[in-house]
Amino acid sequence: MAMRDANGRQTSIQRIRTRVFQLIDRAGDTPKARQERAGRRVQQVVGVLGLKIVMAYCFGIMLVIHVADVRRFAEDNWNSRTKIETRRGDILDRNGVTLATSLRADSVSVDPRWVLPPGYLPWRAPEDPLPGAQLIDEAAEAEAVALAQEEKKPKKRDKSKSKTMKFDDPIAVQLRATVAKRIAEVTATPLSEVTERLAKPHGFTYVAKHVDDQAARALKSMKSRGLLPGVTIQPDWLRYFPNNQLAGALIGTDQSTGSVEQSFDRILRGQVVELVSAKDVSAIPLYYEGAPDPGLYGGRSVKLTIDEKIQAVAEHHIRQAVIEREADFGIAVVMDVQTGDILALAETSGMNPNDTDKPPVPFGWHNIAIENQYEPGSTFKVFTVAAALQEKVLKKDEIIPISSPVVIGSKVIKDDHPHSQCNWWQCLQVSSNIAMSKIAMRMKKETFGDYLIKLGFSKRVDTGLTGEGAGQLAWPPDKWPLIQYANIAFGQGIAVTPLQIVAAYGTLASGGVYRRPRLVREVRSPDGRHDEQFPVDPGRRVYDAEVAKDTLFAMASVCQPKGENSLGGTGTQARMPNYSIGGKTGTAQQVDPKNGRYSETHWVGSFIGVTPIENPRLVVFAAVDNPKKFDPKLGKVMRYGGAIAAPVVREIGRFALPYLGVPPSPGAPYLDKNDPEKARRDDEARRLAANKAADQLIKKDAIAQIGAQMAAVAGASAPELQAAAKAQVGKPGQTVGNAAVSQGNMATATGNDGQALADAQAPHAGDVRVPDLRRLPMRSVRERLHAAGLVLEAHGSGVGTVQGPLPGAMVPKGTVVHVNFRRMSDGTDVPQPVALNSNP
Amino acid sequence: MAPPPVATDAQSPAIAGVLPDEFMDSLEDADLGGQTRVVPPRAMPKGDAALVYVPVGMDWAALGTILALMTVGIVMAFSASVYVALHNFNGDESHFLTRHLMHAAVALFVLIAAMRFPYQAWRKLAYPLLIFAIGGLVAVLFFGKTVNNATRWIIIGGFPFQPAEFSKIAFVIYLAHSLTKKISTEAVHRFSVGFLPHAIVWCIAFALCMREPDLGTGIVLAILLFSMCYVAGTNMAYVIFVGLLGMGGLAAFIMHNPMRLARFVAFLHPELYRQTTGFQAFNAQLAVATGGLFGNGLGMSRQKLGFVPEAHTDFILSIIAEELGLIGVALIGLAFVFLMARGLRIAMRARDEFGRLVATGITVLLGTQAAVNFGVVMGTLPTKGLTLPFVSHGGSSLIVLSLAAGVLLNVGRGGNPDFAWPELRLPRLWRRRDEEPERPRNTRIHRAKAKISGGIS
Repeated sequence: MAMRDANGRQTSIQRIRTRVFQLIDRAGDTPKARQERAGRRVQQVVGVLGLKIVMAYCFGIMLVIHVADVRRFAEDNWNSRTKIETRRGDILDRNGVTLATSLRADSVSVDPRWVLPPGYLPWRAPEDPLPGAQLIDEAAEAEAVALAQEEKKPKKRDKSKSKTMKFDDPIAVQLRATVAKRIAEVTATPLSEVTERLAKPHGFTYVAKHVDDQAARALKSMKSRGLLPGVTIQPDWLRYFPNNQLAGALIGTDQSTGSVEQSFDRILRGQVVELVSAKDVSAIPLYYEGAPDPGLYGGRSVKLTIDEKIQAVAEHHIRQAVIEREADFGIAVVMDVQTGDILALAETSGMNPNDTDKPPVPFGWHNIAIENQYEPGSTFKVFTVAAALQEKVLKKDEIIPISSPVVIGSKVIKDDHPHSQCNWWQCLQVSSNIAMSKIAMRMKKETFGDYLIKLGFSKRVDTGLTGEGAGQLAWPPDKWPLIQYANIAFGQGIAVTPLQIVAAYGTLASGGVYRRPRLVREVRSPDGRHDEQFPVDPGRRVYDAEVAKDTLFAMASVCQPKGENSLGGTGTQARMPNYSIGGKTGTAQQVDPKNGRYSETHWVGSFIGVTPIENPRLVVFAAVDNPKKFDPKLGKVMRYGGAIAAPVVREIGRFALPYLGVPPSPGAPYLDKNDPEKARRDDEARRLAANKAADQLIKKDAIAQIGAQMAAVAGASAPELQAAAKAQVGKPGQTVGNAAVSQGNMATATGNDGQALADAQAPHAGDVRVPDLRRLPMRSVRERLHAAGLVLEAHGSGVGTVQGPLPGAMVPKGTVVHVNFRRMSDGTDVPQPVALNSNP
Repeated sequence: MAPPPVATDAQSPAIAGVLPDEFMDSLEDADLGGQTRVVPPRAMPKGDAALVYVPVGMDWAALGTILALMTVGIVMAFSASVYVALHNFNGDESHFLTRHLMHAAVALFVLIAAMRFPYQAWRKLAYPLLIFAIGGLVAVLFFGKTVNNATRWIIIGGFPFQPAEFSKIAFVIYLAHSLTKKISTEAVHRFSVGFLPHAIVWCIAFALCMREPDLGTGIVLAILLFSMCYVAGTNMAYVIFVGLLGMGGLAAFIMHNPMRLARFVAFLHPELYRQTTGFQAFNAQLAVATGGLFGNGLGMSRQKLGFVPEAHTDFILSIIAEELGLIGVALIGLAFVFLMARGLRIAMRARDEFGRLVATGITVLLGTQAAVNFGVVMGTLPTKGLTLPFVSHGGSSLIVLSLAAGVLLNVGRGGNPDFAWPELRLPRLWRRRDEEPERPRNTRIHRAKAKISGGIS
């Protein structure tokens, strides 16, 4: 409202002022106009704000359109990706007995720098980057500078900001001592060791590897309560070999050459599985969405052709021979003729893959049974005879004079056991070098060489094991000097591996068909989709069946004692009750690696047997390297294969044939031909006896192991404790193996009351109660049984399902407790309910 | 009836030009000899009573919008707060929900009470309220509780309270009252009268806010100051000049402190500083981006798992965007724009100057908070500690803004304490021929007629 004078007119000054106001603000008018203008202003202000909302919304649209640019960050935010190492596959024998398995055993590591009270960070020098943090941008630096400025003013110090603590701060030192004490108590590690590990500010160190389940659980619960700052419990696997030394070098570790563990590492090794999980800002996985079942990504199991019991017997006897003859080492191989399966591949280093502290003597971490190659000597003569028969240069009615040595140049070939003459098979029986060289001369070198190649010599057998020897054979054969050819005819001047010569003998045993030896039967994957079968080699014919049969006849004569029409074979010690055997002894001079000449002292005595000779089932090889035992009766070192290796073959065959259920040979000694029923019963009894004997043998090794472990714990001498353990086992009424299982059956029959049955049996003094092992992982089972002085025989892997003897039974110490294990689908040892009346 | 003598003002050429059309129409209407009572300009009441616009009455649409926003807030704040509740409150996932419901109950009570409280009475309370607000801001410096490095809360009887939130409504009422006084004395154009006293009060409040520190509230108060002075008619030259000065001061203020500078730089490039200073902004934008057009579904946010700090309070919009998508955000934005339009309507048709200014201030307060919150979440503005009105979790903000909304609605009803409940009218699907309303011949005159008659009677 403009001012007016008395007449209601505006003064000139007022009029100017009104105009000015109108120009500036268009004021000085009616309230209504003013109200309108004010309303327009309100419109403008509110419109600007509304526009801001719309603008922000447009930004939101742009963000959504360009979502691809930031999707990566979103994925990082939401998903935690953890790589987990899945379980390594088992190694099984041909019957599914576990030879190597993996047990869940977590490891405990610690970062000593982070052993600090909650809310504290490790102190760092200003120029060092904060461990675990990445200060990369200036903004963060600026913030750090601002923080530093604030820290100068103590009253402004904010409690919510993290503080730092030096490594040698008294609080940190005390906390480390507490943490070390907690870890040491739970994991039963020496306190001094843990304290030492925590003493230095290094980034990461293991304080305890492979702790047991209970300790891991306890540690995890302590960690969740914040009692173990800086400590990490990592999932880990412990490789465990239930049989310790049994097939030790063959199973080996992933560091030993020629071992299944190393050679089939790619099959056995579990895949690394990436688990994708939703996570929150503190990177704690919340739940797994469509996570792969880690059990399905575990390593594949390798099922070998090895038979645990035959292997145990072979190892036992070859070890006995080596000890008796004071030899360097010995090798024994058992092959199934019909399939080419290697049933046993024994050597005597006594490698125990569970104990990797010091390498075994004398070869370290090597499987000598695979790597070894040696000059076969006389065992090679059968191939000369067979080739000559095949080439029809050896007549069955001719007589070969062998009285005078063969002279080739300056070299003279002569026999150890001189005879005047021999026929086609006697030359093998008496192992005549002269006869062999003469027979060989009738063939072309190339012809003979071709037979050797067909038999697989100088070529790796290719069982899949690393470091396998290939043997040595000079090539081409037409370049052989005559003396070398003659030497090769009786097995000198050529190097073979045990598997090669076993396979070549197998050729003769299977009617002239060469089959590649097989060591791996099949590979099984956890999900069953990547299984692999290794079929039996169909074989290739090398000799006619007739030739092979004739050669076997000649080999049988080697084991014949002196008699009518028999000059007396060199391998008579290989004969065994009930089963006929044929074979060939070998006593070969070895080349001294120092001077490249044949050594006068280094011999290998070997014997290769084929049994039973009528319908061959097994080829058994035994070789004892460098025997040094002086025999006072002979007045020299006994080194003949017929004396030192043939008994090993006999013992192995004596066990393995009944064990495999091979019917006794018709012409063999001790066979009761008149009463077939009795023969059958004897047969069955022999089979059971063989089984039991093998169990005893495996158990005896286990006792030695227990003794050693007890000695290690108690500090007493091992032999004493072994004797004590043996005394415990030797008690009458003990239950082992099948007996234990039958006891379990009885318990089931009498109303599933193992406890009552066990109580009813009068316990011996010093007997121990069998713990309840069901639903326990193998590791705990093993520990509990060891604590009780019992021996575990594990079947399968995973969680204990059925055991025999039943829990609560009183048994002598050292008793074998059979436990069936079943693995859960996810590869973990999650116990599942098990029906108590399951039949063991 | 003889027409009364026409006022000289009406014929004064200086004034006639600026007379509103409606007034001229009313004269025409008189000539038509209709039933409408013709009001001569001389008889028009002067001052506040001279208003021609009719108050909008009870604005049910605005009230409905507010209640809808509050409901969305209860649901979304619960969804966004579950993670924090689980982690920080012993696994009590409904920790924030129960509090939010309690706050909402109080806020509803305050809203209805303020709606029935004649708004003119706030004029008498303007200074006590201002003193109370300033006193609260001072008290928080001494008795305040520190959270996240900021001292903003004061515990009264076990309940945390933010004086800064209260200071906003107190400042609006104070400004409206003061500016109304200045308008009636016609000195509002002057810098010393119309702007300076308010600016001084703002400076005090701003300084106190910065001690907390709470830059967001300080800036909201500044926007209130400028916009209300502008609406009241303060010379724009002053406002622009002081505004530029203030922005320079703000720039210097940010440059001075390295941490604030770092935050500002992080605002410009959040993706480069996503691990440190730009963490919050970057993750909020990530939530918006990954939510897409339709969202991941209610409760399906991943960014609320601790990645977006303050997900249930200041950054709730990012979680809404992630769960309900841009569609959901658009609905929220439309609700605010609609609310502001209704506020604008209330302000324009307010019964008096005070009512208009209060309504403007409250509309600007709500609009500023919403606009700044949208801008912060979408990345067009640097991070400020401002809530999304009626949606964010936070008792002080919800109750104070409900009070403001109640005052706004009361302004719309012309200070009337009572109101009639709306008639429930079902829409007619068809209309009988004889019921068809007569279409007015001259819409413009008809409207003016209605307004004049309504305005006077």
